Amino acid sequence: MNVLTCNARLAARNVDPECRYIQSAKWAVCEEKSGEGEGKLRATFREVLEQTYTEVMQCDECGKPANVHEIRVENGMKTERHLCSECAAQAGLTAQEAHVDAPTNPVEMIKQVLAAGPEIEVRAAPECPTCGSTFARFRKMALLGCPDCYQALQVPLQPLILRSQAAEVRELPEHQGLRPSGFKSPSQPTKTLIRLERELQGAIHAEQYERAADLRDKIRKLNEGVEPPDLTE
Amino acid sequence: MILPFEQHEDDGLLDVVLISRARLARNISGEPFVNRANREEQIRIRDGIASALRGLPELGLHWFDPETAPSAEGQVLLERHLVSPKFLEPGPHRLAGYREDARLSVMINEEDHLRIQGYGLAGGLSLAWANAKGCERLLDEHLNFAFNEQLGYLTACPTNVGTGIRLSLMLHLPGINLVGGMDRMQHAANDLNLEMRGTTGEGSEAIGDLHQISNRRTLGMDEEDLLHFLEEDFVSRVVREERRARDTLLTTRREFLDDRVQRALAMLRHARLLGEREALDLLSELRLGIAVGLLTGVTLETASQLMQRVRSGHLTRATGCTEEEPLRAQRADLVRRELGGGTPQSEST
Repeated sequence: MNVLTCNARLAARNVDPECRYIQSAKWAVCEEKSGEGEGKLRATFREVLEQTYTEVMQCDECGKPANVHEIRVENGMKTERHLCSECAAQAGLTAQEAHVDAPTNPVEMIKQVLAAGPEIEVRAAPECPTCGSTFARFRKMALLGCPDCYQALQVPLQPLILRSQAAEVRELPEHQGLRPSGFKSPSQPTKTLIRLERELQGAIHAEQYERAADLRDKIRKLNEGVEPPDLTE
Repeated sequence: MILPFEQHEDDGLLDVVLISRARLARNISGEPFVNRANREEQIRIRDGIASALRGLPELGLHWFDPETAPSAEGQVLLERHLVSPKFLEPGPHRLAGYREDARLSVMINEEDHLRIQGYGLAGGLSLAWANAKGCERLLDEHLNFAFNEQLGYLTACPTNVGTGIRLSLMLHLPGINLVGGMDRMQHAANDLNLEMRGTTGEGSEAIGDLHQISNRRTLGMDEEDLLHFLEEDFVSRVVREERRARDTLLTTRREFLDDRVQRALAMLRHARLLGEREALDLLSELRLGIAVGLLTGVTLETASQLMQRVRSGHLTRATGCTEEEPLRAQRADLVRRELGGGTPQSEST
């Protein structure tokens, strides 16, 4: 059985139907559960999304606008469910985090994701302590307020950076290339710690709890051998 | 450090590649980005960077202040790709520096505090990068750029974060266009995570078959690797495809091609009024004719230079003329003069 669930936040609102990036955006909301019949599933899924673009679908259960869509293909038979967030949650249907399959104009991509999705905003309560910028402001302008925003808005920002960089990259790569001549590179154990922390966040996000526990152990071990950085100064 | 401005750059791509550019985005550590900075901060940032640049006379920069300089001058810099359209929009306290030989320019307070642009001519992407890097490394000793270990150089728009580099090329692709290969080219670019755009950048159409191509990826791949990737995996392929398309046209549709080229030449030699768009389209045909050997007596260089000199900003600077109609006449005059067309008197008598 192939099941395709998606978060159709891109599909619902505020997307200019004339925009040439829509084709890519449609692809962006697909989340594959099984490799089988991929092409057919994608094609079917696109049909549904195209429909969604022209008319906002209503929840099968309560009639509110539907923003979680599910397509099941069993023994060649296709069934669809379109639910609002609440009904989807009740039905135990969780939308997967969207990922980008087709690269597109990154700025437009970001603008569209931002314009269409309420979910990121919910997670984006943090505010940059230095310049006061919020993720909502970034949504509006597609620009950050200061260098510290990268740290303060890290959680909602990271997937967007990942998407804008390259289709084949699944994990945020580390910077390669020129660096300021005065910049002191962190020591190797600190670097490893940073990498493990990042992997841990990824594992938690992907609900890979066994791996997360493993990573946490590694971090703990490393921390025992490394002096913690002095944050008081 | 000496910038390699003297280097020759004849690597034989002139028939396809018009301009190569390497742009680096940098911001000053501890300062808000331009979009968040207040007036005082914008001025402080501008003056700090300008002062560092003025302390480097070896860069040989001329200065352009969009608030005080005549707008025609900005237009000329725009047409030479030394400043961006965004830079010329009314905005914060901006300043640009550029070399008269167009090998280097800097924009202060555009989207980022500093944009360094290095240029090479045909196929000179390595040279463009060397020029940008040379300037950046000199400034690195005087300015503290916002940077972190994971994300590299921090930029106002996260799509530039990392190296902050945008390598771009202006390509003349009339052959591929005529054989109907543009869509395939777009797909190939997209597959390689490259952005293909029109003549003047994002959202613009390709005038005179000129297309801009640039990288999207800026994080996790160093500048040299990116440069190598772009040159080896894309530029050499496009150049090969374009030349093949031109050869195909020449062998299978010679009359068709010759007709287009001769018509273009005739129009350029005899027109009395020429619009900018029309002139660029005709010059594109002319350039194609020269590249495939159907036209002799006019060089590729002349055609390429004309493609710049017929632009409105350049023409206004050269003639002092700003009105549309007289400008069209001036444009036609210039082209006629350069291509050995008849004078109005000799033609009418």
